[in-house]
Amino acid sequence: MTIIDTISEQFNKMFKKIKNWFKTKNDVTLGFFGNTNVGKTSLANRICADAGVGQLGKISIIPHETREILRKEGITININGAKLSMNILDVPGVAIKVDYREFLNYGFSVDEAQQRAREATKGIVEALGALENVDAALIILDSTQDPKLQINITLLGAMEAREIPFIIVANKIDLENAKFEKIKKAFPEYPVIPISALTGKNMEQLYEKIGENFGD
Amino acid sequence: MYQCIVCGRTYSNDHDVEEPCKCGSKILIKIMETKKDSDISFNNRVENITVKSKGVFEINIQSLINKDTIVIKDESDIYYVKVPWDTDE
Repeated sequence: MTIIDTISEQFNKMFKKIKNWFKTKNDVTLGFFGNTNVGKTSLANRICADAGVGQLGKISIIPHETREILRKEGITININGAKLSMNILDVPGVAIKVDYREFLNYGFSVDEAQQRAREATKGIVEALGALENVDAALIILDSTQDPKLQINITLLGAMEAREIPFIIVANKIDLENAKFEKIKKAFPEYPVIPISALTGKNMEQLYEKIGENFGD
Repeated sequence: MYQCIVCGRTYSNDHDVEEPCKCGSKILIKIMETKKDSDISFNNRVENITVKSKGVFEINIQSLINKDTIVIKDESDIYYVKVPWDTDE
């Protein structure tokens, strides 16, 4: 690393710090990242419901249902008497392969499935681009799946590299084959909160963690 | 295989995990690659999106995260480059 790189890095850190001083709580933009079908939109809808605002997106068992970034502003949640306002960015699920044939089982025609695959791929590009626009993130994992998927590791690395604070959310703990401990064990360095976006289980714990990590 | 969580650099199974990554990060994670993940290798490829056939896409997430430029390779091995300042969809 050259002296110029070092100075530039220091300057960027300082600039980021100064920018943060002028931010209010309303500025916190929370991104929801993760593999497809891990429950990102279910969680976003749950938070919106708890905050008393309308649904953010449609929930479906079909992969890549969210193919564009969904945004909801001015969500206020109460955490132990304090209020935290935030904007939510529910981004499309990230995948390393999109194949139209996986949509054919859900009643789509070949043309519709191919169009959906194209939109899903575009959505993935947008999802990764959204990393530049969030102040904090929830990395959502499906508790019934192997936590060490390449996608999860890559997303965690991207957060670390950009110094974006994040919480790992282990969703779907209501399912019989959920293994939250496996996720906790896989990422002992990071905060992991087990929840069920479907039933609302442990949402209080998640809100507390959000307030602790992302609030002022 | 171990992978650095910051820069994505990989190390073989016999790597000493106490030893930090070349980028300085001390966090290396052991990767149990799934068959689905390991089917696709993007090593030394210039493209970050490959169109295998109509409606079938392979996406190099690491490359898309690290670069602003999108390089698409189609079924006929033709490359398309979308530069960061290009505003067309």
